[in-house]
This record gives sequence, structure tokens and C-alpha cells, in this order.
Amino acid sequence: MNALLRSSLRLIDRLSPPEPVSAHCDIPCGIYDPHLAQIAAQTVVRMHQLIGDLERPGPDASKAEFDKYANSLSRYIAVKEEHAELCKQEVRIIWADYFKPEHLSDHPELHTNVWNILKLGSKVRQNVDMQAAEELLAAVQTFAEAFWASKGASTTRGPSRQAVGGESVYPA
Amino acid sequence: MLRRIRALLPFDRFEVEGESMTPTLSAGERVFVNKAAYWFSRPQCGDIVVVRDPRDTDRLLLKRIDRPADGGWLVLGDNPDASTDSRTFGPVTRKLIVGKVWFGY
Repeated sequence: MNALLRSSLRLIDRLSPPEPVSAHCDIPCGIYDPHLAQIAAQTVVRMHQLIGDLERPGPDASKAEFDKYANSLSRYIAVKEEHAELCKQEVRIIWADYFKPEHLSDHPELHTNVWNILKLGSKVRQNVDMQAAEELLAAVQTFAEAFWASKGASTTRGPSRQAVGGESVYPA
Repeated sequence: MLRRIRALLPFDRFEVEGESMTPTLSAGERVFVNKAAYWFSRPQCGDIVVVRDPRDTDRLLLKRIDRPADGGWLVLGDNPDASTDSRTFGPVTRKLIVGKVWFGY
């Protein structure tokens, strides 16, 4: 490139700045990871476990005992709400921004699985429903497998090593 | 005023944002664009073009013509992992193609 032309153009740019032209994706990072969705789904299952384990105060419980119970229950429910929504959000982002039509030939079940995740994500907020929470986690693990497979990475299922127990999907 | 004059000129300058055209053109580089390039000829496969985003025509995108398609041309980024392009928004019509990149500077 002619140096004179280049410096003249740069000078013109100073007087009249060039318009930006985007050469990027909607978020210009290209960084996606289903791990956040997996953790959120595990958290939803864990909150169900804690809610199940929480002992209900008896009829002659003191106010302090009742308050303690109500406080714990409220906190578990709040975290369950938050993480169910987080799980839906993370899955939606990967589904909408990362996956492209050409991935569908290898993962024809993708849309149905995402749809199930979004439905189950709402169901576990509306109810205390351990079965739905476990189905949500299972669907998110399947989603994670599809994600890594689309990147050409194989996955393994191993122990989650979290308080919630169970298995999780990891890229190999 | 300057903007009006610029709109009438058959060429314009743009600043690249993002990495979807890496390694060909990187963020921060400027490109000199010929807006008259397709007045008398059709876009050719491989041309680097400035196109309006069909989902939001105020937004300008830098892509490469892949091939003609029903309703226009398919445009792709050179770096597919960091590009939102015709794989997402489909073909772009001739009207949405602003011009052809002549050179970067």
C-alpha cells in the first residue's frame, strides 16, 4: 500500500471519521459453554433435596423455630427460582447464538430438547417437583453432549463431585 | 453536511469492528469501499462487501460473498466461529449491498 495514500486517508479519517462496519457475531466473543447451564440445573436439583430434607416444625414449635424453618424454605425457593431461570437463559443463548442450521443434521433432536428444557425450567419454578428437576438436569446434560459433539469434542459422563451427587457431562 | 456529501460519493471509508473477517481484515483496520462497484456488474463470489444487516438495516456488516442464492447473495465471515452471517439471516438482496471493499489501510 502506498504510504502517501495511506497517510492521506488517515488524515481524512480524522476530519471525517469512518463509519463502523461490524465484522462480528452478535456478541463478538465466540465463547460458549454449557457448563453454566449444567451448574444451574444441578443447583435446582440440590434445592429440591434441601427442601425435601427440611424438617417441618411441629404444632407446638416456638416462633423462633418456625421463623428458622420459613427462612430456610424461602431461601431454597429463591435460589431454585433464580437458577431455573439462569439455566433457561444459558441454554437459550447457546441455542440461539451458537447453534446454526447446519448443526441440525447431526442433532435433529436439538429443538425438541431445548423446548423441553425451557418448559421444565418453568415447571420447577411453579412447583416443588423433584422429578421435573431431575428431568431438567438430564435434558441439560444431553444438551451439553450435543454442544461438545458439534465442536468435534467427545464427552464423558462422570461423577459430579458436587453435594447434589449424580453424574455430569464433561468434554474429554 | 459532510454526511450528505459522503452519501453521494461513489466511495466511502469504514472502520472494522470485530473479528469475523480475521485474518483478512482485523478490528481497527480501515477499508476503502467502492459503492459504484455493482452499478454495472454483479457481485462476484469472493468479493468482500459492506452489507446492511437484513434484521436491522441501520447496521453495517463486513462479509464475503459466498454464492448467489434465491433472493440475493449468501455472505459469510472469513472466521466462521466469530461471525453472524447468512447462516443466521439468510441471503442479502442487491439493495442491501453497500459496496465492495477495494483495499484496507
